[in-house]
Amino acid sequence: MLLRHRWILSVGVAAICLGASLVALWLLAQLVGVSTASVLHALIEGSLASRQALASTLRETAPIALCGLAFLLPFRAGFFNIGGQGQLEAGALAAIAAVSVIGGTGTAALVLAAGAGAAVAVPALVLKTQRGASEVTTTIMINFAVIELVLAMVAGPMKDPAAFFGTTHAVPDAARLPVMPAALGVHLGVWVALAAAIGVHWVQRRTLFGFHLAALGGNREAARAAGIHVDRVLAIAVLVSAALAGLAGGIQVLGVVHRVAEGWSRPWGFVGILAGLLGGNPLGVVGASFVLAALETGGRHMQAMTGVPSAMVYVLQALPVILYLGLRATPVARRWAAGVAPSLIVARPVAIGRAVR
Amino acid sequence: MDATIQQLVAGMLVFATNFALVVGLTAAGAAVTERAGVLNLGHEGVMLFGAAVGFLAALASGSAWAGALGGVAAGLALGLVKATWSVLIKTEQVINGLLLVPIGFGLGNMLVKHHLAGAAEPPRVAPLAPLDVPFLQDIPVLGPVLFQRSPLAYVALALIAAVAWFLARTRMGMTIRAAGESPETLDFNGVGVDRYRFAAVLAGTALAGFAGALLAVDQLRLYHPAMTAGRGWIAVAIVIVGRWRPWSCALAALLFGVTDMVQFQVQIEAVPVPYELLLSLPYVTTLAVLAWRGAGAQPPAVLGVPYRR
Repeated sequence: MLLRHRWILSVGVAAICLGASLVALWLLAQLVGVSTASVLHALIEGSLASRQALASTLRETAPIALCGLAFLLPFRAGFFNIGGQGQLEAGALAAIAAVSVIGGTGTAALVLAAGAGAAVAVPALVLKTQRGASEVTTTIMINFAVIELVLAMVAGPMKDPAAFFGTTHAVPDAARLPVMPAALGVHLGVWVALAAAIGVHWVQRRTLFGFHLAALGGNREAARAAGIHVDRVLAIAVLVSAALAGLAGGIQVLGVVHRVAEGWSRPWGFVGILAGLLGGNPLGVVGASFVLAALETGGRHMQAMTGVPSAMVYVLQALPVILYLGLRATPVARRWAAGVAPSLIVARPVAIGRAVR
Repeated sequence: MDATIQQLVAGMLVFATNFALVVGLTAAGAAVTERAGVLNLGHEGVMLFGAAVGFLAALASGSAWAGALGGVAAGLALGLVKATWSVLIKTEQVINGLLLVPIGFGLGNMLVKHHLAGAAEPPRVAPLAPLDVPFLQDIPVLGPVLFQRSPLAYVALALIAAVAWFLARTRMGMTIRAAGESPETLDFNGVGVDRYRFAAVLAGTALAGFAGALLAVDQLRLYHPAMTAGRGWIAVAIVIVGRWRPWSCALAALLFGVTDMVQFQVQIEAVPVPYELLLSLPYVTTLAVLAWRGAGAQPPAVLGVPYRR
């Protein structure tokens, strides 16, 4: 009976890991000589305690969740999309270009943002399928290159002449994402992210494509032998996931920052990967993203209030994931999970060198 | 050749070789780890942590050598985590490697900020006296580049040579290579595969930690949270470009150092190219090389797959 509700196991293990990271929090607080209570208080105060804080956390959840989905979707097929950050930034640039240069609507900007994100993933996909280059390294390299490209555009051709430093024109009011509900102060993008998570969950569970993707992840050659177009399925998964990350960039631009400036971005792509791993499935990604976002917003407040460097937040975010990995790999968890549909963590990992052909 | 131009070229080559030493050493260590069959993507985090700990050790003791040792210790500490998660518990190696990056960065940054809290201005580490080789250092351009470097630079070069020799010419090196190609054969002969993999991971991260400390304590001599600027990621890519051979990796790292140097010089020359695009040159070049050579490179046969008896 519990097997049918195996998500209970996942949530339970994730909760244990988050609890363990509280222990780590205590240790780190001792290290820097600050009381754990004040750190915890500052974290919660900055992320959840007021309506403003909660809205800020929810705003931060959106890009993290979308990037988490961007990592998770092709992950089931054995493809590591580490390029979320670059795809996000490309999407942001495309959105601002669509709105301020071409003069399009907000919706068109979001569509273009998604397209830009997908375009960024094309080189990595091609290099993997045609040249056998591991996508892990290529997506990371593309990230750096895209980030520099965005900076070059922002400081150069797309710069707002009236501004002192490198920043684009502001998004016109008509294209900005509306705040809804007004009481909470959260923009439309957050709901878009939630809808995307539900959509991906539905696709994975209820469509033929989702089934093919899972088959591809379980055993690529068996899937091919069964008549599944593995290259096409993988390509679609990668491009859709990159589009989601690009959408995240568009949402940030249209809903939160309203312009692209030097130093505007935060590592949503990377934190998104953490959310994807901790979440395990699209709905879990939303939950994990919320927690990680709370750590982000709480961390900033913590640095201001207690002087503890906000870099500690990175450790607090990574620690639960690494613990979760460890716990999932223990014999108990593996036996439990093996009784149900194969997950990538249980399935035999394919040697990196042989992954492609 | 005019003396100032000589100095300029020499300075540029020093810049390039500095980059090559740090990245090449990390890549050599990563090559050892990967040859044993373990993929470690977290070298950026290990380098950052090594840089932070090395910097603090050098400040506290006043000696750059202590800083180097601190870097090695930091690398070993993170390596212990990585080895446990990859070789003992056998979790997915791509992920647990990636996780080292925020952990290494966060811990390193925290430690430095905590110890430097309230300092009036950012502290700097005193440079080591350069090794002046009597006649050779007077050779016009190459002299200062090759024979007037800090002792730690020579140590780094010696380490790369040692790693290359170790992998190719010792029995232990051969066992490590076998662990990544055919662990079943080793197991069949009663050799502990996991033991060698564990050691290989530690070796890789120790070297990366040293490289990070080299950057902080010898080359830049100050601390900045993002001071490695992607060197760790480039090192991971260079392992593939260098076909998992330490000397090839070092050579590739040198070529990249030259690319970086060219980009820097072009910036100074005020060529009308946006400097951000130039900053992306190392990464784009890496991509191009990966695309060109990627198909031919044969990684270790069981790279990334934990060995289960």
